[in-house]
Amino acid sequence: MNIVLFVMIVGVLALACIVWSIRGRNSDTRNPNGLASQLQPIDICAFRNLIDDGEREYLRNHLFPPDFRGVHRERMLAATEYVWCAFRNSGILIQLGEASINATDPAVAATAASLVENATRLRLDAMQTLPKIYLSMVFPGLTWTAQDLPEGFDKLTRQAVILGCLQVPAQVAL
Amino acid sequence: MVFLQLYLWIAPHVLLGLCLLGLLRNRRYKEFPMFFTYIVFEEALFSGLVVIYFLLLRSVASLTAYRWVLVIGIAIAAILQLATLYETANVLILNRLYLARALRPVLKWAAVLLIFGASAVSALFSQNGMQRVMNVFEVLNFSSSVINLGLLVVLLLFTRALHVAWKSLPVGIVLGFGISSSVEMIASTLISGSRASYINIDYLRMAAFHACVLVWLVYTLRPERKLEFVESGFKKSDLESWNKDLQRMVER
Repeated sequence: MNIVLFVMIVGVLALACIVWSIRGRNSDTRNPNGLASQLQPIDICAFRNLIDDGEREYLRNHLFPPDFRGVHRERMLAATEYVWCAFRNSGILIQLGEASINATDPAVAATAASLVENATRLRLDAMQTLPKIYLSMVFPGLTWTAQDLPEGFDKLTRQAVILGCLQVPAQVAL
Repeated sequence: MVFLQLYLWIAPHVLLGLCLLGLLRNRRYKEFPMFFTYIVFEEALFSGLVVIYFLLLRSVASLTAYRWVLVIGIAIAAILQLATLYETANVLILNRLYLARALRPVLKWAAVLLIFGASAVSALFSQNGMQRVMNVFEVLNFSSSVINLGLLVVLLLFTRALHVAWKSLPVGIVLGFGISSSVEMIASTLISGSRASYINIDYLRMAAFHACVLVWLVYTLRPERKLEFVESGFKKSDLESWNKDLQRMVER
């Protein structure tokens, strides 16, 4: 009896999940013009400092273990904010890039395609980095690296700026 | 009731035929050859079953033969469904190297877990009293539905988390399989629990397949939807503000 009920609930929930994902996908593209305004600035230097192994070792060597754990937790909590921000921004950039991927100007289309690819890669990196940071908060001794993340975001931002620059003259010409 | 039964048996296959024509007309069968093959197979299976049904009415064929053809057909259809799902995943993700590297192990482990889960629950649900052929039919139906549904959910959640853009037809394929698999799963469970008559559950299954085919038909015939803002184009002011925001992001 219980397992029958359980399987039925799982079936209904799975269908609801599929419908929700597809509906969410449609609503994501409903109001894209306001997307760019949702981009949040990221201080890449500060983020790089937070996840720097050298900084962490310095703190570990100069602080008492309980103090180090507290400071490390605070630093990692701050780092998660940056990663969440990069995660959200990359999602927005993917949608903005998708908007231009079919552009008639080949330069715009190529830049948009590259932006989408890099933004997806960054989002994937951010998804993989977040659990590591949370784990590191619990186990400060855990070594992990997210050095690619600031570089990735740096590169992505430059591409987005190039895409924006490419599009403005095209629109003016129209 | 007889009319409803005949309608639910025949109408989805007529609609599937229209789906086939739609795929041929807009040449999307080249993009989704496995989905196309699956539909062709479903039509062939239906035609075979209709022939056996009429032979059965004239007492030329037996009910067991009809059921075995149905069971073998469902086994082949289950394989084709999995191949279609893989094809959809391939179109969306696996042809992008960096995404494939992340998704492949996720899909592989999800499939392993789902196969184990489906086997365990199927073993619990299989009934000794039921005829062997019907038992095989239910276990096959249930297992393939669980695996399909699980893989669909993993694929959707992964692509949603990564904001991977979906074209219309993959959405239709996934939604159709989602409706059909979830109802099949519930129906198989109800049968094993003997909570409703077999005929009523069969109506439920056929109605779900009808809904699934309707979804496929709509998504096959409807022209590929582009993002709304591609059609309208960015306004210069929007682009300028976008640029300003991006410049703000690189502030050190």
